[in-house]
Amino acid sequence: MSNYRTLAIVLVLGVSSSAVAHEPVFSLGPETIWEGGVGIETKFEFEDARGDQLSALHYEIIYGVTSDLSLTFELPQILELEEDGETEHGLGDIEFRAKYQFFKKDLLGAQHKVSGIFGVKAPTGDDDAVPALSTGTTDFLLGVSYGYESRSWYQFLTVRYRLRTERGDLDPGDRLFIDAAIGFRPWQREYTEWDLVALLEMNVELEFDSEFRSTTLPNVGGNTVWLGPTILFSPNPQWMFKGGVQLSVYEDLNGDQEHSEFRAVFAIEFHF
Amino acid sequence: MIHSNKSFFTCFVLTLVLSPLVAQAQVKQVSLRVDGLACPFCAYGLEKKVAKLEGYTANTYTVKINEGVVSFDWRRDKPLDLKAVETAVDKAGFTLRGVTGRFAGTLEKREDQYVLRLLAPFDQRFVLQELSKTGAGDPRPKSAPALETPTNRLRERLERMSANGNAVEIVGRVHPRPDAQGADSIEVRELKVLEPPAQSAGRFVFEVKGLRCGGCVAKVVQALGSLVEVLHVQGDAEASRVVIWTESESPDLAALEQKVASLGFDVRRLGAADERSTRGAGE
Repeated sequence: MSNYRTLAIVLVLGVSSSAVAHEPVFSLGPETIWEGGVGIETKFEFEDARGDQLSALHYEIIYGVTSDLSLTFELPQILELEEDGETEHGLGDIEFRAKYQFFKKDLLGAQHKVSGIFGVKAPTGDDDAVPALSTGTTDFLLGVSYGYESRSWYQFLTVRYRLRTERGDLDPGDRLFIDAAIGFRPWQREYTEWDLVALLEMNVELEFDSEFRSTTLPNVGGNTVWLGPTILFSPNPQWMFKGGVQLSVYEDLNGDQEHSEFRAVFAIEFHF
Repeated sequence: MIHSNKSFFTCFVLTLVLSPLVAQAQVKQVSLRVDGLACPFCAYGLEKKVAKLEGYTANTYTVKINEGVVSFDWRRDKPLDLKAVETAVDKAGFTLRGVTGRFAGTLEKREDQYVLRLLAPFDQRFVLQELSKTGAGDPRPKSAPALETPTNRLRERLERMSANGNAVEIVGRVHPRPDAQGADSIEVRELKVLEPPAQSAGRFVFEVKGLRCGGCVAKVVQALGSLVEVLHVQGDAEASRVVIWTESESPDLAALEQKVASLGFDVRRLGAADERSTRGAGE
C-alpha cells in the first residue's frame, strides 16, 4: 500500500508546471524572454487529486540567454501535503528547464512560435518525511509547444513527456501531457494600460503503468482530462497576475483509485 | 534584414502628427515598424532593448501596439546605426520591418544623386531616394491614391533647396546601405525647409562676407549647426547674412565667429541697428 501512496505523491508533485507571460498556467508554452531579461514568478498551487491534497508555493526565475533560449529554475515550497490525516511541509524537488524557440513567424500584431522544452527534476525534497516531499527520483521532461498569440486570439498546443526513473524496486510509469488552450483579449489595450486575457485550458494527462518488482501495480495510473478557465491580468507592462481553476471532467483510472476533483493556480509574475 | 510593410508610413505619419517635436536635433525621431507585438507585457522587452541604443533619448519611448509602431527621440550627438536598431529588435524577440526617421541636414548634389548630410557633430550622410510608386519601395497599398510628391516635383524641390544651402527637414524610410562602401538611404516622404525653433533663448545675426552660393551657405550651416548650443542656422548668400538661434541667451559668440572664420569667411556680428538697415535671412 505504501507504494501506492508514494505513487500518489509522485502524481501530485509531478503535475506542476509554470507559465511565462500569456502562457497557459497549467501547462508550458513556447514563450521565451528577451535576451538578458529576467522574470520572477511566485505561484500558489492547490490540488485535490485522487484523495491527496497539496498546497504549495513555487518560486521561479527565468533568464533569457538569447531571445530564443530561456533557462528556468523552479523551487517548490510545499505548504501542506495531506495524506490519510498526516501532513507534511517543506521544500520540494527543484526543477531546471531550458526552452529553445526554434521557429518563429512574426506578423503585424501576432506571433507564431514553436519551442522545444527540456527539463530535469532533482530529488531535493525530503524523501523520508511522511508523506514524502519528494518523488525520490531524477525525472526528465521533454516537450514541444506551439503558440499563436495575437491582439485578439491565443492558441496553444503542447505535448510533454515526463520520463521517470526507477526508485528502488519501484518503476513509476512515465507521463504524457497533451495540453491545449484557446484564449481571447476582450479589450485591445495600449502599451502602458492594463491588459486582460482569458484562456480556456484543457489538459489531457496520461499515466502509463507502474511496476513494483516487475509486477504491474493494478491501482496506479490512468488518464485524466482537466478543463477550466484562466485569467491573465497585467496592470502594466512589467507585472502580471494569473489565476486558473480546473475540474476533472473525465477520468479513466486503473483499478480502484479515488477520483480527482479540482485544482487551482494563482501566480504573480514580474519581469525586468 | 529589414522588410517592407504596406501600412508602415500610415502608422508613422500618424505617430509624428501626434508626437511633439523636440529641439532641433538632427535625427529628430525614429519610428520602428515591428512585427510580433501582440501585448503590452511582451512589448516591455523591446523597450528594454531600445533603451540601450546609444542614440535613445530617455523617457521618449512610445508604442502603438495595434499599428506595430515604436517611436522614440534620438540623441543629437549620436549617429543613427541601423544595424544596432535591428539587433536590438531581434534580441527583444521581434522582427523589424522598417525604420523611419525625421532628419535635419543640408543637401548636396552629387552627380545625379542628392545627399542629406546631417547637422551633427559627426559626419553621417544619406542618399535620398524618390518614393517609387510600385514595388518594394512603396510601402502603401497598391490601391492608395497617387503620391502627393511625384518624382519630378520632388527633384525640383531638392534642386531648389540644395541651391539655397539652408537646412532641410526630411521624413522618410531608411534603407540600409547595399554594401560596406555605400551610404544608407532615405526614401523621402516629406521634405521641407527646416524652420527656426518656436522657442529659443537667443537669436544672433552675422554678416558673412564671401557667401557666394548655396554651397557656401551649406558649409556655414553645417559648421554652426553641428554645435550643441546652436538650435538652428539660416543663411542668405545674397544678403551675406547668417542668423543663428541658440539655446542660451549668451552663447560663446566668439567661438561661433571663429567657427565661421575657420571656413575662410569674414564674419561680423550685426547689432540691432545693423539688422534694421538690411533685409535678409531669418526675417
